[in-house]
Amino acid sequence: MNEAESGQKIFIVDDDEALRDSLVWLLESHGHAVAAFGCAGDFLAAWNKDLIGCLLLDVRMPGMSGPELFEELARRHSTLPVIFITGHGDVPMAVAALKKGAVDFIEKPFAGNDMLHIIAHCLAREREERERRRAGADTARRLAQLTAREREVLELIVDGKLNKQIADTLGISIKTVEVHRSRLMEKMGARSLASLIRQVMSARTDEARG
Amino acid sequence: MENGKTMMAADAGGAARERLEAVLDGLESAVYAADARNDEILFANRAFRTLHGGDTVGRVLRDLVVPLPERGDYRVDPRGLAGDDAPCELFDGELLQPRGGRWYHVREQAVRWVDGRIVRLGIATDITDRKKTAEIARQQEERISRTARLITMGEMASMLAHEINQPLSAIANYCAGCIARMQAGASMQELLPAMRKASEQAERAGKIIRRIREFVKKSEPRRAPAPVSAILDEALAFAEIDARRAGIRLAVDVAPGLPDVYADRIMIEQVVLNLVRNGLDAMKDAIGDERVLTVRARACGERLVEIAVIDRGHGIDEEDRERLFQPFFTTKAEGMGMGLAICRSIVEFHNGRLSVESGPEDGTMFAFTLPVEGGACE
Ligand SMILES: Nc1ncnc2c1ncn2[C@@H]1O[C@H](COP(=O)(O)OP(=O)(O)O)[C@@H](O)[C@H]1O
Ligand SMILES: [Mg+2]
Repeated sequence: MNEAESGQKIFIVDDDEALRDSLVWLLESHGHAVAAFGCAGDFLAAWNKDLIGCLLLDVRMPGMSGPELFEELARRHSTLPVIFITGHGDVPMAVAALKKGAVDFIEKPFAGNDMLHIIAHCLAREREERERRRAGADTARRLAQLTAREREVLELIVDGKLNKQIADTLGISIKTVEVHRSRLMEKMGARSLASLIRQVMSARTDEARG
Repeated sequence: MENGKTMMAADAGGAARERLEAVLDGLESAVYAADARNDEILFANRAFRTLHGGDTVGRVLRDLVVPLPERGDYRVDPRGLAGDDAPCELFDGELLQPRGGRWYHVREQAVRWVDGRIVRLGIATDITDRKKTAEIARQQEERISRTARLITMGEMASMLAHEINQPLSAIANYCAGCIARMQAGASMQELLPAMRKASEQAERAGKIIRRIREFVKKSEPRRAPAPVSAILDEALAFAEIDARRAGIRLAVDVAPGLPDVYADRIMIEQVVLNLVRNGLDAMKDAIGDERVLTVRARACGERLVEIAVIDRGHGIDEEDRERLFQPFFTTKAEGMGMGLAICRSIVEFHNGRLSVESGPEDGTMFAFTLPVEGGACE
């Protein structure tokens, strides 16, 4: 898949000019869109929350280091996945960064293919993640449009109750349940019971995750 | 003490004075009181009298063993002081006795004597030994930091590895990009700039290698006769810091009467320190009385001295043992794997042997030999 078309971009922050330039060359050779920065400050100045793709981040840099930039991005609730570029002796630091949510790290000198695989994997995950967030936001918006009664019916459907049981529980006729049911299916944009349940469940796990 | 009561009743003032004199005589510092106008000594304690070979009361306070401030050293000229100026401080400082070469801390104060005269009341403390210890500590620190500079050789290697990684990675990237583009049918014109940059990076790597060579050349060894205990003292002064941090005791066992070895001290210190550090690393999980690392030196025949570093750590796997001395072999996350390789080449340069075996109890023993002075070239 050509990421340039998907709108994803690979951002590089590395203080070594040759390394930066060569990475741009290599990644562009494989059809990626790339933007490179010589220091953490330059990247922060260009950063906004809508950037999509991934960030290749050097660990050792004068001024703000890679891990420091990583933490600053976390403070800003950045959703851009981060891959660290590590040199000799940086492995313990990279492991610490992984525990804090960095996606992966690549060791210098790189084996070119490994790096490309890691990046491709990271971009694919970022797409999925973004899709999931978009779907979650969509579900939330649709849920907000339900009436109180429709929401009650939805709860019971998700609990696996039949129309008859729902009618008994809420003290309404089966006919009325059916009306609520078809209206809420429409509002949720769900084509089947299965897809409705999936949608609601994934919105709930998202909520639980924060 | 039976007659203490009577004595006190009869002459309370005298007893108090006696007690005061007993205290002053007990001091190691020399205490004196002299007339501020004519320097006549009115009182001297035992330490002062001992220094000057007898009673000095009545003599003039000049040309003494204890160095005293000169006129210009005083805050106020004691000769010009009137009754209500006292008490006040006259002098507080360190003075050297030029003949004996000893240092004194001297404090003088102007006070009113019992008969109303102004006197200089002084106390002089010999601080020569204290000063010497401070000086030794300073020299030691200097030596430690010199050793520290040298010991960073391993760290230097690590830094160079990092530096050389940069151009190597860049070359790899340029080439991999070229391959991808060539496979996609790119023109030569498109590839040329990247190939040029790749070869520039190869030159950059070459320069780093040349810098290493120059560095190595500059630190060429200089061998001279050196006492084993001095070598160990210096290396261990530095290792002690790491050991204390790790909560491990260093035990030193140097056989008496060892002959000097013929060696480059700093290099051998480096070997010892590297071995000790490895031993400390290996003992991270040792418990209780096992947290002791022994450094032992003893004669090995007439021509060799053997220095051994014995830890009680986790030991070494049979399969690793073969590879320990290979450059870059390491089992540590942050290890460089250069320590033992450097140690071995230093020892072999000295016509010695560095060997490894299991320790006498558990753990590991690294031992190396050095030729004694005159025993090297036969
Ligand atoms: N005293 C020791 N006990 C156990 N293993 C040791 C000891 N000294 C060295 N080793 C092993 O030899 C390896 C190489 O040591 P060295 O060359 O000093 O490099 P480094 O200390 O950087 O790993 C170590 O990683 C360790 O596995
Ligand atoms: Mg080592």
